[in-house]
Amino acid sequence: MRKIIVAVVLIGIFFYLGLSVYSVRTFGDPMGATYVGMHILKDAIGRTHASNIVTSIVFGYRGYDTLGEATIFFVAVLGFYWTISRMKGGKKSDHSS
Amino acid sequence: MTIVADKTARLLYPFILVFGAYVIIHGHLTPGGGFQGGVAIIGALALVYLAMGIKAVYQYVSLRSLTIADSLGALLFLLWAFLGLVYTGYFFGDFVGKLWGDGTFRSLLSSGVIALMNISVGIKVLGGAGEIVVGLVKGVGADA
Repeated sequence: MRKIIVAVVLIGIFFYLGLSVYSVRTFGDPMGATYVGMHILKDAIGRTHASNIVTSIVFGYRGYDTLGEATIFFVAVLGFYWTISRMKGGKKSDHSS
Repeated sequence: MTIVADKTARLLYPFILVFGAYVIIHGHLTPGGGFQGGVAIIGALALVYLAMGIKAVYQYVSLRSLTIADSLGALLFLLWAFLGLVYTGYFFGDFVGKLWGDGTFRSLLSSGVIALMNISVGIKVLGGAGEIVVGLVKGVGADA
């Protein structure tokens, strides 16, 4: 029963994902795939006064994304040091035992 | 390493540092930004390690200072966001533009809070990537 429910839900999700193919613009259209991009291109310099539109998107329009990105980087460094310390500790305990 | 690599690295690394600082500070004007500039600065650090070894790296930075830079950048980023909440009513709001105006377009002092966030993210990425480089080198060097 659970497998049938999961299958129906997945089929529905992929059906709507497939439908969305018809709503985007033509591939290779220079005006971009969505209307959001056109809106930001027209609107960004007037609203943020930054001549680098990419930076104005990263820090202005999508500040929450950047906050999450910074958090991910912080956690990645923490996890890296956790792994390194465990590798060293494991070797030491093997050596002593 | 050979004397060629040593001298070349000594000659090049201040220029890489200046280029990284330039990319960070002009992130709201020219292509690049905090992430790219911070990684460029850490590229200079990796060059120093490759040419002169880990002791030369510890002459310039310590793991503690990199950790402080990482945490300071993250806290500054959150501070700008909360100052935006206080002064404009929106999280990540442009409080600099509201308080002191937007500045001249295409000058260094423009675009309000975006420039500040850019610099704080640059400090943060510099610290984080540096921690990873120093940690990898130290982890390899301690066991070998």
